Amino acid sequence: MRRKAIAACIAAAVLPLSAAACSSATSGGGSSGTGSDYTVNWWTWDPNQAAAYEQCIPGFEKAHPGIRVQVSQYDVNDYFTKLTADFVAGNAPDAFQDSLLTDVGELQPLNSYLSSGQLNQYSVGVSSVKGPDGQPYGLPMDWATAAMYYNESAVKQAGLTEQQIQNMTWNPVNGGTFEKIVAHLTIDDNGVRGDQPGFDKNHIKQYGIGVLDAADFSGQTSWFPFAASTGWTMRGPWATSFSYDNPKFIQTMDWVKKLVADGYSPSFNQSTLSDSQLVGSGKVAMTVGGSWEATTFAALPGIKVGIAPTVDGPAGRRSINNSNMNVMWQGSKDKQATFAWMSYQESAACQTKAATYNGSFFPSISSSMNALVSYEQAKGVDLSVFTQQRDQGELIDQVPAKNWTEIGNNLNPIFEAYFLGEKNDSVWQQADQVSAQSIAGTAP
Amino acid sequence: MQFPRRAQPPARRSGARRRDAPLAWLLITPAMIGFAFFIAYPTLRGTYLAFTNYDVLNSPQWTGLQNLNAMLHDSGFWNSVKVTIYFVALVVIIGTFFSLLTAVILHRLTASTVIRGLIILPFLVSGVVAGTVWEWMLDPELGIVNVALTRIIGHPILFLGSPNLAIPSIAMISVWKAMGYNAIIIFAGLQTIPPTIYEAGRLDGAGEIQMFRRLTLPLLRPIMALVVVLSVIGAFQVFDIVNVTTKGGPANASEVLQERIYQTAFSGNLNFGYAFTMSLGLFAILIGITFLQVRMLRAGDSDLG
Amino acid sequence: MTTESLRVARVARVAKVAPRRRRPSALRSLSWAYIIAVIAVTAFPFYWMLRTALSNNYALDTKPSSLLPVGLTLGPFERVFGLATPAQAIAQGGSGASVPFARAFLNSVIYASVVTVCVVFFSTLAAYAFARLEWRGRSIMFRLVLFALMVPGLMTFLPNFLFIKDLGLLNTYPGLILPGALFSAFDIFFLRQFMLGLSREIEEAALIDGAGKLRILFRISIPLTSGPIATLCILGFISMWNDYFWPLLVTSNNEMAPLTLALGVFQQASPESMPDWAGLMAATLVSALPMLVLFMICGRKIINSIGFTGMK
Repeated sequence: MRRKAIAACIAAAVLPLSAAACSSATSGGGSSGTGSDYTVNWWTWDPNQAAAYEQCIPGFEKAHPGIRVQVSQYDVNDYFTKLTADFVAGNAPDAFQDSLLTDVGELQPLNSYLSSGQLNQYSVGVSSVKGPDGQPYGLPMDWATAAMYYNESAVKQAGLTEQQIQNMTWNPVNGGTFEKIVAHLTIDDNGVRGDQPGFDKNHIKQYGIGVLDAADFSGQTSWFPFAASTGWTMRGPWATSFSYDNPKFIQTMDWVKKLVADGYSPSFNQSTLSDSQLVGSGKVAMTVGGSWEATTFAALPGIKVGIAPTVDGPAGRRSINNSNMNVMWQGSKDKQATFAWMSYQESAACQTKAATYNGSFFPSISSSMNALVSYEQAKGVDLSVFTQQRDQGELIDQVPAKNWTEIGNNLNPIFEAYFLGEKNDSVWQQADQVSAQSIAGTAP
Repeated sequence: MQFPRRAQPPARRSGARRRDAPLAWLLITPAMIGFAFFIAYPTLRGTYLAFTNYDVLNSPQWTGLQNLNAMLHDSGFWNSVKVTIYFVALVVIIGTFFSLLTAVILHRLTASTVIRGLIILPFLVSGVVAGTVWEWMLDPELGIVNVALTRIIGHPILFLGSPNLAIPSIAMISVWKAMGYNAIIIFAGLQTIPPTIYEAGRLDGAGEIQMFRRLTLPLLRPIMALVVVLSVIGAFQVFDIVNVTTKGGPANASEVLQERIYQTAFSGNLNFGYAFTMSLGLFAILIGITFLQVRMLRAGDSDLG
Repeated sequence: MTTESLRVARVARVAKVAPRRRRPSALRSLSWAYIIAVIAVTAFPFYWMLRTALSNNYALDTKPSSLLPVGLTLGPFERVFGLATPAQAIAQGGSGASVPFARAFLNSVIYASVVTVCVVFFSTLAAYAFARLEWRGRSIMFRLVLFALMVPGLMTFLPNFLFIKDLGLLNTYPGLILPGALFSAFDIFFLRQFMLGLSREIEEAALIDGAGKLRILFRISIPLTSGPIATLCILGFISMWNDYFWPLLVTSNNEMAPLTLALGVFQQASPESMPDWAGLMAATLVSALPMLVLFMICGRKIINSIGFTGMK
């Protein structure tokens, strides 16, 4: 009886193995599928964009017989781990979505593939594709920025007008009209507003503004628009360190800390929820949110969310633009085919098709962006705030640097410690040093 | 006719010592092949790499004791050790207490498999799922636990977002997940105690709690030792729950060792050499602690004789 | 006290002992209260998953305290099974990406069952060698097994990944299965403990009758250890079913990805945006369901037959 059990086990082990051997399981990198077709593998971390770009595949395959395309998606938290493992194994995808050229050593420079002027069709993100040696390593895919999202009825109930929200001023000394508005929008559990007597800052029902003290060393959807509106910059592309030890930056951070202490803004560790959830639940009346959340905010039931530009500070308005890029692995087995797909994917035709499929990204080509704006307009979402940022030169490209994730691992805890009150202003000098070490790869 | 045969066993044993060997080696071969290739080799390779500078994409460069020296002076590493020990203490003490209590009460109360099934439910989901669901439920703004707490005490409590409560919260999630499983193991142990011992105890006039302390606990010692040792080893290696909830924050308050090792290895710098060094450190700590525990608990003995 | 009581017990049994005294009811009620509290804590999160899985994503935030689903809908489950159209999915806060559910499910079944059956079998063989056979080197080998328990997981992932790649087995079933299917320190340890506790009488009788050790293993020891073996099978299956990191490294496309990877579409699209909570919870429940069913079928058998003595 036991013999039968053993036999069953062996059979159970052998059968799937032989099934696997017989099945045409393709290995990871671009290898041939059926016949002489080459399959280009393309990766992204965003399931929405994966679904969107898949719409372009039939058109591409028709125009390029002999080349097939497969799109794969991996969870954003594991994406770069998986990429690294596959670089090591020699198994990486032919092309993939990349941000900030984090693995530039593994990428194929595109000079020899680009036709002259090919990069001119992109209105945003071209500076981000240049590696430390100045060569282009990718094609700009998209762009994204931040703006103020606000609950229209909360604003109305506070007796404020849309005009006021659209034109908020700010400075790090007294917070400008922004702080006044935020104070008035904050309501405590007893219904007392933040600028009225008897305001209880320990029991807040609705915050005037969302999280600004984010444990995020780039602060795109939190403190950056404020800090940068003073004229402060984090440094240039491929910098060797970041500049946090700067009086304008420190003043901004102190102001953020005070805002939280006054009870007008929740602290970063108070919730794990996204901006849209906080606004949707009524906890927060206004928030600095990403442009990629525009559709989500529009879909919140029972709430109408308006979009306003970021604050107008001493040096004007500023916001970070981070562009993703389409890059090629230098180990790809058929670079011509891969580049054919990449070019097609980042052409106006495909960008328009993909972006208007589910509104999951802002295309880098102007005509496609216009198509997206119309598409969203028809659904009641107004993207003009973002296009104005682009047109008025308020966008600052996200600064590429080496070892981006490492920098985050080392810097974000410093931000957290500062905002939690464990460290004071002197920590910013240390932050500069840590950023330099992280970039150089000499951090402990 | 039995007696001459009964005299054989001693002689048989020394003969058996030689005779058993071929069979024994045959039986352990598959397991040992697995051990050699997938445990021993990686460990040896990792040990070697711990003394090098290795970023995976290029060959390793020998650096000798440099990594070790760096680790001993790395305050972040020692913070992780401290955080991990704190976590282990919470999980093992609280977890073992509740597992034992639950197993004993179940044993005396009911034979229902439905109830036992319900208690082991948390084990069916992964650490990632447990972390995600509890993070959602513990959220200070919208989580159901805090909604209830606000009704009772007037304000929400920061669990995973608080430097002080982050580790205790993660420990509780871990206890939630493993308690049913440990309870079932202890339960198995309880079933080996002959009921006649309790009969006698009752005849002697002992109460429930007394019988528990004087009879049950001592007899359970080997099982409890097993559960505790394995809990400690498992808890030291916690990773999933931390990685999906706090990722070591806020401000490194919950950065357990495996989380630090993972971030060192897989983040931009790909500092695998140093990550292996820290893994060795973890390994050494585990060996030391397990050795101590086994000594203290005298895990091999059983009072049943 | 022990031997005393045993003697007393023997006497009492002969004398037809009086029926058991009733336990004090205060203690009993307290115990029931405790058990109910434990069940509430262990089971509530599952109810919460179900409640969230039947809700509309956007509506979720408007009614955080509602114990019932908000905006009751089967949409999330449709997304999990790949039955929703992209438009429907997007309208509910999902991603519109497809989930190759059937294939991923099959992959999970193959991965989990093959690894478990093999490793438990090989561990049983090894445990018997450690528990019942006498051979030189036994204690050294066993110490190696114990050391293996303490090797930190992350240490083995990368070397194993590179080894599987060198064997050319990346993205294949054998590559996925091999590392876990041969050796498990925990299983060997666990089974050895049980086997040590088995009463030797039956075995010695068989030995005297001329049975070989191998026969004893298959005819006596394994049947007597069937409870723990079944337990380890279930525990092993569950942990392989939930395995994420190793399949992430080894598989490269939808063909081979098990359920845990395929359901990654429900995670966040980016670190700041909202995950498809409802879809995520539905996905979790659906992937936990087979194990629940398995446990319900085999659970009774396991729980009722675990025992150290093996004497029934």
